[in-house]
Amino acid sequence: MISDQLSLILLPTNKCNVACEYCFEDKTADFMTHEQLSLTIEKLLDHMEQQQIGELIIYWQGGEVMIMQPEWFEMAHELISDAASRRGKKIVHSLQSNMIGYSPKWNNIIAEMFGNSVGTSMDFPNLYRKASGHTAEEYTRLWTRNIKTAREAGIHVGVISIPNKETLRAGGEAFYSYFVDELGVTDFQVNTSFSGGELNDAKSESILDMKALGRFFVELADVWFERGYSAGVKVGPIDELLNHFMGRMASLPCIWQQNCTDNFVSIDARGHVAQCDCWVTSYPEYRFGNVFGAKSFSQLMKDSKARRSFVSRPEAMIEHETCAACDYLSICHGGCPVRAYSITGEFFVKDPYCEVYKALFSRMEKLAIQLSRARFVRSLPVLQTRGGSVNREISL
Amino acid sequence: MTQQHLCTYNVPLALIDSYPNRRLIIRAADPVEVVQTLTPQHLDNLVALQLLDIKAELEELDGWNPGLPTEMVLQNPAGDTMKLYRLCRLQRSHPVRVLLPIVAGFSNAARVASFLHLPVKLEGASPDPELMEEFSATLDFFLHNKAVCQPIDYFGGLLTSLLHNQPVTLWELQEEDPAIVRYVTDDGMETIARPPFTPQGEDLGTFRFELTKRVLEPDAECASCDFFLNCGGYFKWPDPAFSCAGVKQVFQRVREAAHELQDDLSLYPTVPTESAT
Repeated sequence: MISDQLSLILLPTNKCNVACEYCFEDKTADFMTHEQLSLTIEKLLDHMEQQQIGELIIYWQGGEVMIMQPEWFEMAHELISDAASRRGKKIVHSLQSNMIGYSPKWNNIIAEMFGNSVGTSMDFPNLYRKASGHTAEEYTRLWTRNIKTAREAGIHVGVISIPNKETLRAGGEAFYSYFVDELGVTDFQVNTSFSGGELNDAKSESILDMKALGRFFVELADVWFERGYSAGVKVGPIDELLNHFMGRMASLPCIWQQNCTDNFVSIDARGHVAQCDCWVTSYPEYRFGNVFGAKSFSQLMKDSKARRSFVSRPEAMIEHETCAACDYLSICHGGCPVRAYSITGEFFVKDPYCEVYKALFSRMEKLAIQLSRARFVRSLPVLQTRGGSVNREISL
Repeated sequence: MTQQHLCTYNVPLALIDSYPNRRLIIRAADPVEVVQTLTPQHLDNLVALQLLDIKAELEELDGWNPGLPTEMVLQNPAGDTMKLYRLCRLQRSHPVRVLLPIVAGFSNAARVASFLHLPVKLEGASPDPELMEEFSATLDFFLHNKAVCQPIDYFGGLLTSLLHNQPVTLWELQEEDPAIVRYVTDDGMETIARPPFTPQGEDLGTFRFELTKRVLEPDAECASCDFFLNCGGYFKWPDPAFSCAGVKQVFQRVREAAHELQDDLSLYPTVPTESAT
């Protein structure tokens, strides 16, 4: 088998119910029908059989998924489950929504199809997330109310947040306090912005000063380490970097994979296939093809010139960048292609957030050493009492 | 069961049918040719695949005989280092090892391979004097870089052997003992599985015995060498006059690292686990 798992970022609609100013997607009014969904799933199952892949994870997002109705998902769930079981494959589902259209009528399908968990997004402070004709404050109020309702219904809510210029002014402590203390969120992920799709002022100003952003991440890491680590709060990718540097199993984000073509693919409501949701609606020149019209998904992937560019990117890019000499190459691999392309206009260059990543890697490595040493020191009295024969100096 | 039946042969794809009922490592440049040539009967005797061209279409091996150990020979480490990224996909379906000739630029390739979690075997293990610095830097990297989680052999095998006080010679570690592995040249000659891959007139059946006899003669360098049990006169072939001064430094550093590890591990039984704290 190539891998026991394939991840699909599926956009059943390209339409959204809000108008966030920094959104990287070029939206359309398209929806996927159940017939188109069935066709897509069958072709993916063929591909999984051919590649000996056992499990498919579908990350449902949009556009905005909650524009569709829960009934649409109930039927989708049934037809996908039937198809998967006929082929002896496993398909699991994950939901990403802005939660603006959420109401309790979604609770059943969230429980049944999505493991009673949903991922959503909010920034602190919120500058760019708005519904059309409304303010960011109104958006924040509505979102806050809806995630409170969802959590009261027992739904686990994870949040993705993107720092902006005001986040940097507020600092890591205020950012952490907003999510953890004020909202009660114990699982959130901090992403970096990129100016995908058509450029505007919000997208331009969302690309921050890299040094200042690096300092913010380091400060946030320190706050989390002091207040959140022992309490079980998850702040991605910071918590997973600590796992990595502690020598534990770590699940690092897609931006730091050896080659993202090995891990996932995205399909939008029109059947367009691309590397991920960051590419599929906004960069037609980088699409791999269209799954609705393709004879087979495997062939589409194999024949795509655009995909070959992605496949060859790490080797081509690292060849002329400074990455090979970097001690963090093993966890970064030159970073994210869409961040490189959208910010620099070049495909075969390293991720412009390199400086931010290195600042964070370095800090997490130091924290991991600090934690390991503290644990070792705690074990010393045990050594002396139990063994009785340890008589050498242990220098830390 | 004859020695030939116990031995593994590294055979060019074109000669596969000359070695029926033998354990085989098949070497080839073109994965397409491998997939098209090998029958299920061939696969029964296949121990590993050795690929000679990292620029070839490796995706042809997707789904083909998953789990088969596969070794990629990087012919030009300096020029092809970044092409190691092509192995990431193959690595998901096959255990992949990188074989690096010790030529200028090999250390960077070893480093990148390690960063991609690929085990490495260094080939032609008697480095030229001008490469000793690079060799030494690679040993440092292997012993001390936190990102290394796969062996760089022979350092890895030697460290394990010294750590556990279980002498295994480099002939075994490097899979070059002709009693165990033999290399079949493109024109069908059997020889030792190490460059220059040309028969030197040895009797492969008695090779180790004869070599040991020769290198342990009273005045020979090996006779007074602390590391003979871990080496077996490995560096005295093909050049009996090879001076081991540089190599002994490498062995000494690995031995010191093994002792440090032994000291650390001696404390381990009384250290509580994380879950117990």
